[in-house]
Amino acid sequence: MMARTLRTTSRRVNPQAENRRVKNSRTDNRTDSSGNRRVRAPRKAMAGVWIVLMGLFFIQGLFYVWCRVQCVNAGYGIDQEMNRRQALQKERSTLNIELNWLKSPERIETIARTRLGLVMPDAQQTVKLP
Amino acid sequence: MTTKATKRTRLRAGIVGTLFLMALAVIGAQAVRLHVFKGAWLSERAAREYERAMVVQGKRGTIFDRSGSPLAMSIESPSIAAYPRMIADRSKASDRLGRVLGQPRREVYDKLNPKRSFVWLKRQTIPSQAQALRALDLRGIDFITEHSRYYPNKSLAAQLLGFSGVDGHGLEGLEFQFDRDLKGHEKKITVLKDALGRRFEGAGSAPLTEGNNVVLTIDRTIQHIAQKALEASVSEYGGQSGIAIVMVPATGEVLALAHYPFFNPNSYRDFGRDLWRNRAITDPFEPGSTMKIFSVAAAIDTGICSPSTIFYCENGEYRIGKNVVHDTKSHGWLSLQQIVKYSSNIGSVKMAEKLGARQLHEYLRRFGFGQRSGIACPGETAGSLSSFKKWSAIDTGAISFGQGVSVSAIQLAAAASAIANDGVLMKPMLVKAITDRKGRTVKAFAPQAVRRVVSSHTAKTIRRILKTVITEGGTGTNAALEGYSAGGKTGTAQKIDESGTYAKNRYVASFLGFTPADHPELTILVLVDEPQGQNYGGIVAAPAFRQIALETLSYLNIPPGTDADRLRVSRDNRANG
Repeated sequence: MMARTLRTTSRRVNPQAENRRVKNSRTDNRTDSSGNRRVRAPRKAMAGVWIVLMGLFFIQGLFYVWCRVQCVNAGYGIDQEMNRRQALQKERSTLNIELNWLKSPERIETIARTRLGLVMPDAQQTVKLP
Repeated sequence: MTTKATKRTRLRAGIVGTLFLMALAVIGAQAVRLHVFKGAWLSERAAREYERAMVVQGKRGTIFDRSGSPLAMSIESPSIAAYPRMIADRSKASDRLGRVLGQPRREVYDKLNPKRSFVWLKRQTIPSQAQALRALDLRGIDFITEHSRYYPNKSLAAQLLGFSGVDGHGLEGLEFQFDRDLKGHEKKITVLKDALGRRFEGAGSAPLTEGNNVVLTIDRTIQHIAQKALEASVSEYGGQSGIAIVMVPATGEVLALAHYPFFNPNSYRDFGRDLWRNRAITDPFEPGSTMKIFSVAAAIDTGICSPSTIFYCENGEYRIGKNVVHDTKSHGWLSLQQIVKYSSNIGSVKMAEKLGARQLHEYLRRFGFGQRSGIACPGETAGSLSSFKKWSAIDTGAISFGQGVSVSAIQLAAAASAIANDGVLMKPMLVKAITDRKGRTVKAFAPQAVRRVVSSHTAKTIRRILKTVITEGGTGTNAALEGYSAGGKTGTAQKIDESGTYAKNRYVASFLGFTPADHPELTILVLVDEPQGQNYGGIVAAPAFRQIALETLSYLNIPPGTDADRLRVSRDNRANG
C-alpha cells in the first residue's frame, strides 16, 4: 500500500518544475512542489563521479608506486639472500676441500710413517682370522 | 550589460581553453615523437645506463675417483670486470687498478675504453686481490663470481685428468674427453644496476644448470701407491720418464694410471706441454721382451708348441740373412718355458719361425695390437703392426720379441690382462658412470668383453710359465712378492734414434705382470724410459712392480697365500672383539 502511494506521488511531479531543473542547475537541491523527494541535478552527479574516479586513479597510482618499490626491495632482498647462499656454498666447498686434503693418502702415509713410526706389514706380520 | 559581460567572459574562457588545447597538442605531439619515433633509441639509451648483459656458465661437474673422492672440482673465485662508461677518471683508475692487479698501466687503460660497455679486467683472481680492489671502492668496477677448476690432489693422476681453461672448457685429458658432460650450461643474463650502482639480478634469473659428474675407475690410494713407486724407480735410475698402470683383469678397470715426471694441473702453464700428455694412451713404443708373452701364447694356443718344446739357441748369436740376433747370455737348448724365463731372443725367433708370420700376426691382432682399445681418452694411438705380407724373415722373428712393432702402454696392460682373465680380452675402462649433480646415475659403463683371444687352458699355461720368470734364475726375480704368487715378464727394448737405427744406450725398461698368479686380481705394468746405468727391466722396473703389488694387495685386503678370505689384521696390532 505504501509502495503504491510513492509511485503515485512520483507521477505527480510538476512538468514545469522539471524543465526548470534541467535548464538551471542552481535549483538542484530544491524539493519538488509536493516536498516528498530531493532530486540531484545531472551535472552535480557527474562531478561526483569524476571526483570518485580521480580519487581511484590517484589511489591506483599510489598503489602502483608502492608495488614498484616493493618489487625493487624484493630484488635487493633476493640479491642479498643469493649472496648469503653463495657464501655458504663457498664455505661448504672450502670445508670439502679441507676434508679431502685431510683424507689424502699422501698426507696419511706421511703421518703414519714419520709421526707414528708405522711401516707396511709384510706377509709374516699379517694374520688371517679364521 | 549582462549579455555583454557574459560574452566577454565566454571570449576569455574560449581563449584560455584554446591556449590550453594548444599546449596539450604540443605535449601530445612531443609524446608521440618520443614514444613512436624515438622510442627504440631512447629505450636503448636508458637500458645502457642500468642494464648489463653477460654470459655466465653453470658450475662444471666434479670428477670423482671410484670411492667418491673428488679429483677435479669447481670452486668459486672472483672475477673482476669494469663498466668503462661509468668510470669518471680513466687515467687515475688505470693507475690504481694496474697496481693492485699487477698489470701494466697502459694495458688497463686500453681495456677501459669508453666505447666498450663491459670488459673483463682479470678472470678468476685470488680472493686477496679482489679484497684489495674492493678496498679501493672504485665506481664502475664489478666483482662477478665465476667457477675455476681446482685439482685438490695436485699432481695425482694429472695426465689422466687433464685440465680445463678459464672459460670452463676442457683442454686436455678426461676434462677434454668428457667436456660435454662436465660443463655447466651457458646462460645469458641481464644484470640490472640502480642509480647508486648497486647490482641486482632482474626477474627471470633462474639458477644455472650445473654439469654432470664423472666417476672414474681410478682409486686415488692405488694411484698414489703407483705414482710413489714409479717416482722412486725413475729417480733411482735417472730415467727420462715413466709410466705405471694397475688394472683389474676381470673387468678391464684401470685402478691407477701414473706418469712421471708429474705436473700440477692447478698451474699447468708452469709446465712444459710434453708433461701434459697422457703418454700411456697416446705414445707408441717398441715393447721389447714383454711381447714374448703373446708370441708364446700364440704358439701354444695353435698347438704348434708346448711349454716343453725345445729350441736350440745357438749359444747367443743367430744369423738371419744379413742380420744377427743376440741374446744377453748364451744358451744352448732351451724349452719354450725356459725361453720365456731367460728371455732368449733367439729362442723366440725360432719359435716364431715355427709358428709362421700369418699366425703370429693374427694372434697379435687378437690381443689388440695395431688397433685402438677404445679407452675413453683423447688421442689414443693404435700402435703399429704392419701386415704379415710385408714381413721379412727377420721381421717375423723380431716382432716375436718386441722389435719392429709398436704398442701403447694401455694395449700392453690390456693384453696381459687377457692372459690373467683366462684368455678373454676386456676393453680398458676408465669411467664407471656419469651422474647428475645429485649423484643420480645418468649413464653407467659396464665391463665389456672384446673377444676370447686364447683358450682358458692356454692362458693358464702362460700364467704358469710367467711364474717361473720371477723364480731363481729368471730375469724378473726382483718382482717376487713375499706371501703372494705373481707372474710376469721383463722387457728391455732398445730405442730408435733420429737416424732410424737402434741406439746403443737408450732403452725402455719394463715389467709386465699380474698377481696373485693363480687367480689374478691385478695386472701391473711399469715402464721406465731411458734409465741410466742399469737398463734391464728386471732391475729397473721389477722392484716398482713389487712395491705397487704388495701395497695394493694390502690396501685391497687381499690376504697372502689365498685370495678367498679378505679379512686381515696386522700381528703387531691388537684386535678386539
